[in-house]
Amino acid sequence: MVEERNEDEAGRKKLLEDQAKEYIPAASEVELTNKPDWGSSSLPLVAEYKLKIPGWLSGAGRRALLPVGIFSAAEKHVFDHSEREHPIYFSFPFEKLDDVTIALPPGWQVNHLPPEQDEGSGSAVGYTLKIENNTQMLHLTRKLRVDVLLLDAKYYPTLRNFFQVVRKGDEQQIVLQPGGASGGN
Amino acid sequence: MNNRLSCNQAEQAAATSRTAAPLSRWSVICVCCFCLLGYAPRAAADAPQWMHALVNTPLPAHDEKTDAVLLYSETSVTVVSADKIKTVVREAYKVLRPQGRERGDVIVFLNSNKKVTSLHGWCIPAQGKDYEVKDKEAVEVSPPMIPGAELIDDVKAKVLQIPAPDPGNIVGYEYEVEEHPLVLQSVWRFQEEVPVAESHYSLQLPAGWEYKASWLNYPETKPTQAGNGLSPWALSSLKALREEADMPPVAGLEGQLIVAFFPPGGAALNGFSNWQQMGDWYRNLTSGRFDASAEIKQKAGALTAAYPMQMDKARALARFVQHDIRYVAIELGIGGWQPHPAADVFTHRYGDCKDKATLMRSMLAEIGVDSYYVVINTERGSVTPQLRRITDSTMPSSP
Repeated sequence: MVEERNEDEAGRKKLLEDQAKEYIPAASEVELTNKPDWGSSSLPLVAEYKLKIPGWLSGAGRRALLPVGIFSAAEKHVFDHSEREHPIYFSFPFEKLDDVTIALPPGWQVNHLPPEQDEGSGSAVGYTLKIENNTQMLHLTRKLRVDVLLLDAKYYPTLRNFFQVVRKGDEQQIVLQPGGASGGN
Repeated sequence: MNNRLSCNQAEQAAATSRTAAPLSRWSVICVCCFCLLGYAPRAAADAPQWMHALVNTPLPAHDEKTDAVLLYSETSVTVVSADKIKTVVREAYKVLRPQGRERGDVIVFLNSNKKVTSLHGWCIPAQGKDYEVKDKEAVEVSPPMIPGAELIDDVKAKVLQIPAPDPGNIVGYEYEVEEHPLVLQSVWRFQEEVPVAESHYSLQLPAGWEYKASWLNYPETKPTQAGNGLSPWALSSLKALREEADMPPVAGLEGQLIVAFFPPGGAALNGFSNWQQMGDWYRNLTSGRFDASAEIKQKAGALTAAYPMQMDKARALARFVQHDIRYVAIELGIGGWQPHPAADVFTHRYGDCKDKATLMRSMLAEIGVDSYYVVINTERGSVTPQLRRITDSTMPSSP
């Protein structure tokens, strides 16, 4: 992102929009709606978007399925290979926090919510997923933490298993249905 | 040997194409070069004996995804004096898959301290007569700019295309470079992304000179013989260094021999066998560079006048260096390691990481704060506590 400081406003806007699209594991329409502060090195760079993911909600009879991993594209294919020769190197430790609020269309209710997940608590990598149903308003919290720089190749199977759990968690679906009784939590 | 200290983490020019990992960066430039070359007529001439001796050499262990294998590599370094080093390189690959055709692209880097004195390439086809290409068919080009780095340096490359680098054929080359060394150090990178059957390195020193050898990512190996200032090493059946996602930098993984050498009487000003000597070398290189000009003194005073606390003053200076000095790296000759004078950086309002660190040091001194360069490496694993070296990936930290 440092070199983009030298871009003009259109170039920076495109960069941020392209980057947001890369987070989403489906075709999306993304529009940056604010003017982030590129001049400060001490304040976080905050970008606000309006986004549409046309195919995100799929139909299943009268029900609709909503996958929970809206911003999980980066983890989709990470560590796919079963064998590993070199150590695993992350350029820096990081934490990704998705805090998503979804307003349901009038008349729609939650039929099923995936269970809360908490993997790797207290270890070098961690993943939590929590979805709350607040009457017509879903609150989804996803946190991925990688608190390691260099990992010996012998730990690769463990790390790979962890990311498989992350993928499975992200692929879980919220089931919605119009009217009637709700499955709730 | 490269001479670069920059904040840019993009891989710098390696000795030849075989170790120049970012080949993709070169693809465009190579296409242009070969257009210029217009595919010079292939001269039918016998490849040298050392290449023909490889025709029936058993291939090193490899799998079906292997594009090529390096059959033979030989690097002969002759230290003529503290001011002159000659290096002769011979290498030959067998191309196994169409993707291995890039082994026919020979790229030799040069700069104001290093010139290529000869360059030849050959192909031994599976059938038919050998081909030869010579110096005059090579083109000299500047490396492509690294995006975002605003990098200006004196590194150039001679590019030669060996004809018919097709599967089943053997391509090889030989070149000699003559160097005015900025530091007395040589690096043998014997491992690469394809398997290596045989790799040789030799160091010829003048009488009375000594060397210190350090191994990285490979067990220590003794020279195969010793005497008359000649120290040869030989390795065989080296595994390929495969690319994997989220792997450490190649410089921190590949097997390397780093040799520091010294004239009689101990380390020279540009040679070092311990961290103290390396620190002394860098202190000499930066001596006087951070002296404040009248303009720097005035600016430091103006920037900090409003702040009673030292930490706030330091922050104000850091903000100035971060925001008002644009990152532009101009690295010519020793300028790859030596910062520009703080006064010049201030006047021109641009510099690279070591230039910014130098100006910061100069301004901090004006508020009574002592500061020091910290040389760090940007490629994890390429420098270890036991392995002191100055590389492409070491740099003074910028504020």
